[in-house]
Order: sequence, then structure tokens, then C-alpha cells
Amino acid sequence: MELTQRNVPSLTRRELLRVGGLSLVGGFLNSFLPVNVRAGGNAKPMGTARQVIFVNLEGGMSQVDSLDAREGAWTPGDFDIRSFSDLKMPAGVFRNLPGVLDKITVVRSLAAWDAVHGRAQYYVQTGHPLNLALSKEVPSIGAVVCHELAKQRKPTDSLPAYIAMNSAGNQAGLINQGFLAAEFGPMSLTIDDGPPNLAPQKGMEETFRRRWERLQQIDQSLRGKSTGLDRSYADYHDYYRGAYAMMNDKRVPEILKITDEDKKRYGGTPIGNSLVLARNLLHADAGTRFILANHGGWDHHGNIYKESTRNHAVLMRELDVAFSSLITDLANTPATNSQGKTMLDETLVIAMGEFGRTPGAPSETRAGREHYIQVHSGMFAGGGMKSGAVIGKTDEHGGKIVDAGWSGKRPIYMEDIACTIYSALGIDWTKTIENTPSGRSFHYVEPASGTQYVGFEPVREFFA
Amino acid sequence: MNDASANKRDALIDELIDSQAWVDHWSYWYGDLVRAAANRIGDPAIKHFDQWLRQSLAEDKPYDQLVTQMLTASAPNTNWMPDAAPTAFLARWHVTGASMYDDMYEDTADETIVNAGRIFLGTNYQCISCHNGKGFLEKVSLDLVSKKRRDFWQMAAFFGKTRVRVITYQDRYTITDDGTGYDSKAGSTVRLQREGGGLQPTFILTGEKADPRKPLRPQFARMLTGNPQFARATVNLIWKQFFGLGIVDPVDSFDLARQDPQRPPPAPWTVQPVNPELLDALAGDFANNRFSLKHFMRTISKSRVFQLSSLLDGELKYRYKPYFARRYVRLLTAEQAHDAISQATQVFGDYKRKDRVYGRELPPLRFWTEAATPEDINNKEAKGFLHTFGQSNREQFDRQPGGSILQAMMLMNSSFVTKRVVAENNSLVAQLVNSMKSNAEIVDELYLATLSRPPLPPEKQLVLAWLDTNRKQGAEDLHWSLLNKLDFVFNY
Repeated sequence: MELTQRNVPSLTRRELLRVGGLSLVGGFLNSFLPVNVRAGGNAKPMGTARQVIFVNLEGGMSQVDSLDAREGAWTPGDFDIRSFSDLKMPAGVFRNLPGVLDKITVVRSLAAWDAVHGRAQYYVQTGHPLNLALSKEVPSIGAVVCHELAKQRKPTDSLPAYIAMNSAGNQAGLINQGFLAAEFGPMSLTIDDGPPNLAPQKGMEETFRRRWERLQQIDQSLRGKSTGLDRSYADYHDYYRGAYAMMNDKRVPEILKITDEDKKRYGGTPIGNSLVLARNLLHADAGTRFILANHGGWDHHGNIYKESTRNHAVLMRELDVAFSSLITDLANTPATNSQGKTMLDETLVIAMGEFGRTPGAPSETRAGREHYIQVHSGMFAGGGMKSGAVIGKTDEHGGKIVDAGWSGKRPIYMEDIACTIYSALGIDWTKTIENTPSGRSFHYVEPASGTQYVGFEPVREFFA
Repeated sequence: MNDASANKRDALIDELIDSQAWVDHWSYWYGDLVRAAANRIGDPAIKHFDQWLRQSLAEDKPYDQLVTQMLTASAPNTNWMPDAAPTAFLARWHVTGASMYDDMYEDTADETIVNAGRIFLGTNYQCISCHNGKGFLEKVSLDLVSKKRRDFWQMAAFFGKTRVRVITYQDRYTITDDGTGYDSKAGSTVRLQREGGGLQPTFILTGEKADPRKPLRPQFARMLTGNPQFARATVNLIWKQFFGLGIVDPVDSFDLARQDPQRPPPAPWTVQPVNPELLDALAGDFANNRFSLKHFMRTISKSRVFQLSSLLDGELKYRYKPYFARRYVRLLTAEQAHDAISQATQVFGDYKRKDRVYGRELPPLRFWTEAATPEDINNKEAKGFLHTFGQSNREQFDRQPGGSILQAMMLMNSSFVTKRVVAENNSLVAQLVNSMKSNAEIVDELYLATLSRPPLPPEKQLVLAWLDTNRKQGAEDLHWSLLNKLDFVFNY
């Protein structure tokens, strides 16, 4: 019985074409063609980062309760809003973030194009406006990154390049690889109290091995070599072999391990556990380069401070402890691929959502805050970003940008963030791909947003 | 299988097409196509729409009528009235402004036309909704390169008096036709700003202008369903579901200047459909049989091409692929895989649902295709399974075809599958193992229940040894292996 431990990420080029093409029954007829990438102009990518962890604050975090805090009669007593040099934050909620402020950059001049979650989250994941005519083929930022970094893949890289956590229920869904090869799409994991099932279920290891062998025996006619058989079978068998290889990869149990100490330090919540796994994944250096960790629930139109609910403060505490521990751990671990540096140096870490929330007093009727596209806040760290900086300033209510804080002299949009991510990873953000299934050029970052021409660019002020 | 009559296949086809399962399957599929998402318009609207759709399919309502109802229905007071059910189609494309309570009328009309084009005409008007074809679409579409943004607005103008107004976001809305008409200078929250200019509702395919004194939407519905492209696009859509590949593919990429083999397009363009005569013949058959979906699906199901084997002597060359020389195997959809595993193991989720309007308990669901929307079932394990198998969320993305490592892992290792093959709790394996049946009978029954065929003699010999060594473990392993056999997840 042939049992080579091979998996999709290390398939040969010819096989990759097959995975991306004919196997996708009902998929794009043309997608087996190699894509033609064309460089744009004179972009000079920074190339300071090797990998990305994007913490997606889905639902919209209230900037005036968190990173750009404003105090009012409505502010709960235990928020304890204090100044940290130029920053105002609820020290009673963000108990750990102040300790890592010297390692991160806080941005208070982000803005969004769209006030509807689905469309705004689509921006977050792709850096593009949602165009239903093209949405089948538009890849996510993570997929473009993995497509670009494919050349760097090592023979020992057995894990998917793009891993998404708790993103299946995202309001935009989890945007995949579009017309790019299937191997650049996200592997979507659900992480709640513990790690996902990437290893045989506990106590079923023997059963699994026996069943695997038995399956190979009774399915020989479809899984073996045979002419005249639809290629889809062989392709699907490749996925089985990939799954089998991953389930038997010796590094996987180590990656999936969340110790009690980890749970304590990261909070033991889904986002805490996700960031422990993100840390482990990058530390194992097993091929993963882009991690999207979804932290949802921020959409508090009502009862934003109501006690004994999963209110804004609860979510901020979850984020606070998980994000600070991640930054601390990355900063204290030697880099996997460059001497004398830390993992934080080679990892771009971002935490932001799709938009902000209305400033001022919460609504009288529902005691909540609505969607707000004019301004929101986020955090950037590592991967060549400045540390200890604050970019952007808002007015007294936290509702209007008075100083964008960068050379663009306008709000920072998701397209600019996409440019920044690409630049940090050494990717020319002005590239286009011409031979798409629709025939329309795919710009890594479009010159126009959904509604106007802007001309997006990396935020140079983020970089050290 | 034991029926020896010559027409047993046709008789079974008729029976299947008249079954409830047919209604469930195709109404769920249609809900995906029109992206009937509860998130957009609220649960009450979607439940009414779903019931109306199922009823329409069950009674084989002529498809031109069904579409006309969706395009012309109104909800003057609220959508919570059953007779407003078809309005969910329009309301779903409502566009909000900077605040989520603003109604952007022109944007909503634009979305309606883009999606009416995609679903009913197989055409893609998204590009010309922002800019003229010239200078952009030279390599994309011979037809659209000559079209202007203004042509698009003139189509959208059929919905220019239509007002989709949100009352309670994600819950209640009204639809009336008391607006003043499409304003070509209106601002937009989703497209490049409009440049302005006078316009008149005009059907893009024929240039026919609307009579401004009469209601606009019925005129649009008449022009749309009366155009031959309506039948052609519809049969192509359904053909794709049966064969995995459209006669024009992708199904929403019709280039109307490249359809007629008698008037071929200038080089290097070629006639677009791989078999234009077949497409026209199918469309004619559909239109001449009062746009009956049941009739059309019977025609396809009984055809020789659908009954071709997926095996082919010799090598299948990639360039043969568009010519339907052979059946293409097709991965089960997410819902089909879920339902097939439940059915084969006799272990059902019995998913509880709540009526989100009145809070009362609804009868539990066994099969996913009985659900009104992807959100209708709130079971974490099942949702994870469906997501991994590429379920559409009806919002931003369509069904995602193709396999993945995670799918294979889920079939082998998820408790969704493994708990269903344990000989406990009245699973099929439990029923069989605890019965008086012989091991050989158990093997036959598991094959029949899972793959709809008895085992071949060598298969039976192999697996019988598993059961003879350990009846319970052997039966559990066999059922697990059958659910993981490649012919289980593929339709062939």
C-alpha cells in the first residue's frame, strides 16, 4: 500500500495546476493558467516583515471607549480613564496594554468607506470594495501575501501559508483565494475553549490508523492510478493525503498545545487561545505566514456597558490580556529566520476592525453606539513598525480627525493598510494581474475606492 | 433496482421531480442564487419569501410569472404580510447611506439591475454601472464595450420610482412606487459618483422605451421575461447545476454579441456558447412549455447526455471538457453532504429552531435543505461542517466549489462523522449490529444505505473479514470507510 506523506502545500507545480484547475469542478475554467503578474510603477517595498498576525476586531470597536477614550457622564466608574503621555485609555479595563505601549504604535486616524458590516469587513479582508460581479475572483489580502511568498516556501513547510481563526461566522464570511491557486486560500479553524481537531481525536488514535488503512484497501479503485477515471478523484485523494500528513506531523501537537500558563496569561478566551496558537504556529516555522484571528462581538448598538453581558468592557479586557501577552512573547522570543532579532521584529501584528462607533453619549433609547465611518482606532506592532508612537489626533469628542498624523494628510483607509502590509512584507503593492477569469485586471490595491479616486499608499510614518 | 420494467428510470425521475425533496433542494439552491440572506432583510421577510418560493416550485408556477412577481410586488404597509413575500427579492438589494438608516434609492435601483442581469439574463452589468464599456472592456465583452453608463442608468430607471424604505433595520421595510424617478445626479455610497444627464427608462437589450404614464416595474418584467435571453440564461443556469459546467460558463458571463453562429463575431472573438444550437433548442423547449421548471428538468434528466457514464474509454483531454462527451463527477454541495451523511447513518441533528418574530418553537429540522437560510440552523458542529464544504453565506460570496484538506479531515476526524458511525443510540450501525442479521447482510445494507449499491464480490469478501473478526468494530469501521469513500462525496 502506497502511503507517501505528501500534502498539498508541497505538491509539484504540475500537480498544483491540477489542484487549482480541473479539480475545482464547477470552478473557473481558466484558473489553471498561471497568473501573469505585472509590476506597476516605482514602488519600493520596505521588506521589514516576514509574516503577519491580523487581529480582526469584527463589529466595530468604540474608539472613544478604548484607544482614543473620552470621559463623560456615561463612562462606567471602573473604566478609570487616564493619560499615558499623549494617549487616553481606560486603565481600569486595559490593565496590560500600558505595559507594552513602548512596543506598539496606536493609530487614531483610521476611517472606513462603508457603514454596513458585511461590506466594511470585506474591505478589511481584501482591501477592495465589494463588487459582486468580481467577488468570486477577488483574493483576500492574506491570499495575495501567500501567493507572493510562495517562492520562499521550504521543503519542510507542511502547514498552509494562510490560517484563519474563528472567521467562518464573520459578517463578510471568510474571503478566500479567489482566482489564485487553492493552496493560497485560508485554512479555516474554529478555536473556542481549546485547539481545533488537527490531530486524531483523543483516545481514537489507534482506531484512526486502522480505519485509514482499511479505507485505502476498499477505495483502491478510485484512489489508485487509473485511466479514464475523472481527475477529481485523484485531486480529492490528494486532500486526504494532505490531511493525513498534517494529522501525523510531529510538530502539530506541539503547535496545538495551549498550556494552563498560556490560558492564564492570554485569558483562556477564544481570542486568547487563537493568539496562543498564532504564536505557536509562527514559532514552529512550519510554513504559515499570514494569520487572521477574528475577535467578534463589538457591535453594541445597545447595552454597551450593561453588566453581566458580553459588553464592550468585557471584549476590551479579552483583547487587552491576549494582545499584550502576544506582543510580550513575540518580543521575548528569538526570531526564527534572522539572527539577533526577535519574533516581534519579523512579525507585523495589527489589531483593528471595520469601523468605529458614534462618539458622545450612548443612545438614550438603547444605551449603545451606532456604526461610525469617520474615525476609528487600531494598533500596529512589530515587522519594522515604530514602537511607542501615536499617530493621528481627533477632536474633543473623538469623532473627527483633526490631524491625520501622516504625509497623506487624510484619513488612513483600509487600502492604505493593505499597501502597508504588502510593503512591510516586501511586496510591490502596485502590481496588477491581467489574466483573471473575468478579464478585468486585478489591482493588488485599486486606485479608486468604491466611490472616489484617492491614490492609496503605504503609511510611511508607521515604519521605524 | 429490482424493478424490471423498461421505463423504470423515467418513472423514478418523475417521482423524484414531484417529491418534497425536489422542492427542498431547488428552493434552497434558488435562495442561494438570489442571495436571500436573513441578515439583510430580517427573518420574517425571509421566512415569508422561503414559503412563497417553496409553494411556487411545488405548484410548478411558470418561471416567467415567478420572476414577474418578484420584480413587481409591493409592500405598502410592511413586509410582514404574506402577500408581500416576493418583495424580499428587491428589499435584499437595499443600500444604506452613511448612516445605516438612510435609504439610497438610486443605489438600490442599480443593485437591482446588476442582480436582475446576473440572475435572469446571465449578463454582467456591474462594470458599466460605474463607467462606459469603451476603454475598459475591450478584452472582456464585445457587447458591453459598446454600452455606456447611461445605458445602465436607463435600465435602473425602471426602478427609479420604487422606494425601498427601511423601518426597523434588519426587520421591517416598505416598498412602494411613489418616487419621482431616477436622479442621475444622486450621490452614491457604493459607486463612483454619478455625472448626471437626462434619461428615460429603456430596456438595454432591445432599446424599447417605457411608457412613462404606466407603472414602470411591470413593463420591465414584461420586456425581461419576453426576451429570448431570459429563457437562454435560465436553461444555462440549470444545465450548469446538472452538468457542473454551463453551455456558457461562467453562467453570468453572456456576451450578447457572440451568440449567433449565423452572424459570427469578428476575429479574434469566437461564438461564445460551446453548442449554440443546443442552447437555443433548450431555451425554446423551456419557453414553449410555459416556462415549466419541472418540465425542463425532466427533459434534461431523461436525456442521453445526462445519463452518460462518468467513465470514458481512453484519456479525457482537457480540451474536450466543454463538449459534454462524458459525465463530469461533481462534488456534493455542502448541504447535500450534510444531508447524505445524516440519511446514511440514520443519525439526525433534529435541529431546534425558533421563530425569530414570535419566539415560538418551530418543528426541528432533519435536513439542511429544509432550512430557509444558512442561518436558520444554529448548531455549531453542523455549521462548521457546512462552512468547510463551501456553503454560501448569501451575503458576500457564493458557494465555494472544490475540495480542501480540511474537508478530508472533517470527513475522517470530526465528531460530526465519527459519532454517527458508533454502534449506539439507534444509529444504523447500532440497529444492524444489534439485530439478528448475518454479517454478510450487514455489509449489504451498509453499502446500500451509503452508496446506493450493493458491494462488489471482491469488496464484500474484503470487508466481511472485518466483521467476522469483530462484528461491532468491523461494522463501525466499514460505515466510516464508506462515508470516506470517494464515490460517497461525489455525484457521478
